[in-house]
Amino acid sequence: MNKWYDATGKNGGIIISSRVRLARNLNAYRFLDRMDAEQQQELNRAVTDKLMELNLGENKLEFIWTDQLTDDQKKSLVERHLASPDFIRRGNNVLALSEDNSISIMVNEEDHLRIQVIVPGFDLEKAYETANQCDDFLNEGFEYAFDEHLGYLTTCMTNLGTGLRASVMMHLPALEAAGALGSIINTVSKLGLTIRGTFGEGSNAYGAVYQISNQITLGISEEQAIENLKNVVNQILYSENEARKSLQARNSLALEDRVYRSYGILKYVRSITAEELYKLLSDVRMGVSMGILPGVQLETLNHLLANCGESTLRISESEEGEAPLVCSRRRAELVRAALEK
Amino acid sequence: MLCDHCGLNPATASLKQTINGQTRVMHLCRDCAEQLQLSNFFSHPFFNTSDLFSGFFQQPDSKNKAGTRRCPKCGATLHEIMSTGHLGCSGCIDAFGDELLPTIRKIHGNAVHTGKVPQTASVEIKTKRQIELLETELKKVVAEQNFEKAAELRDEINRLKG
Ligand SMILES: [Zn+2]
Ligand SMILES: [Zn+2]
Repeated sequence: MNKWYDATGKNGGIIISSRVRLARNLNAYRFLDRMDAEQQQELNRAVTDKLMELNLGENKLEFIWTDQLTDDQKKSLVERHLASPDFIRRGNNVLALSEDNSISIMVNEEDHLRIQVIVPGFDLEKAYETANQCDDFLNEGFEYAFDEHLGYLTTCMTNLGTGLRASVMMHLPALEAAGALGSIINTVSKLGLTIRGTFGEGSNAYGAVYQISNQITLGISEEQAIENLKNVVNQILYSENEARKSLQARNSLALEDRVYRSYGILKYVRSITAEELYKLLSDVRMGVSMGILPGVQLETLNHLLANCGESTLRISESEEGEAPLVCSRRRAELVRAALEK
Repeated sequence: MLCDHCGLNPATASLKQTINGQTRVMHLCRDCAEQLQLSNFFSHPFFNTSDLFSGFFQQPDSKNKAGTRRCPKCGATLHEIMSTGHLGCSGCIDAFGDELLPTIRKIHGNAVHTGKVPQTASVEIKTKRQIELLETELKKVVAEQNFEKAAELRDEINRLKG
């Protein structure tokens, strides 16, 4: 079965993926801070048993007990956005992962349940619809911690209410080049949303990939929160397209040259770091979605973005603890093979 | 200086975090620094640890008796809840609702939940929510001068109010 990232969706050139996460707790158990290891195991088993009955058609759930994983296997889950760093750090927990990797249900994260759905392109409704179905299904088996006024009771009081976090991963190279991100960040945070770089640390966003998410969870319905986020994303999408047009109008030769140089390097590279890869992929992605570089699929770029993390490369070779140099070589091989197709 | 995260131990380390382009320096005790460094180790911004940094949580007055009272269901004290920002169980709200409300208001404003209601919620809560939704709908159809539909909705609301 294809993974979610081997596809592309609405506005797929600029919007890589849409994600929805629901936080839920069960009434019958203490919350995570106050559970002992045995209770956690009991919860792992109870939820796993229930989830075995979940019918996803062709798409099957796999149960991953994190304590049985190597360090690289754990880190790879984080690199591919399938589990949170906090989840991996806690241990003694289980991840239910759909075969296409679009649904991941973390049991015993900060909350008893974290239901996460990722879909390609701009489609928050679809992501929410699937998350909502998983939520209803689990709720058939367990009574949830809920308060009429405060909504779903979450471990951290900042998530009370819907327990919903929706986010959209966007590629914004032209806005970044125009130096416009500062003011966008400013506006977005005034609207109760956050924007941050997806790869890299702090304000350094490797490859101009940014993530925009809602922050407000109480006093707003799921649909409203998604609608608000969508409106802002649509505005950023419009600005990015405008910035690209002006880039092309100002110096189309320079733009074309940059896209093709980066493509050329990726086609023949023998060793490459993740940081450099994200940078070059950014040029290529912009070229593809602007029609400058035909013949490369967005799906291929999405695949590389998801699979070129350090640990993911190591486990794909199943050689634990390789030196980073070897990883850079392996990454280059993967890139060349993908662009050959 | 006390630790910005737990507010319990003296701060001995500092940690930089950049959110929305703003860099904040956190002063942390050794335990918290270790815990946060560990989660930073993966340093993946897709999942944020910023909830930990919300800075909303304050120490309850130590003279306040509620600081040492325990939630009957999970044993958490108000002090523990306030210093971590974390609830201990679904019963903590019943046990400390009055004391926690000001903190919750600081985070969320005066908002009340208007989103999804679980299937397992009590019949009363579900009925109340349904009435609210119908009343919103009623206002809309009245504004549209759709009086036939409005009458239907009114009947339905009255039936639910029983
Ligand atoms: Zn501390
Ligand atoms: Zn409690």
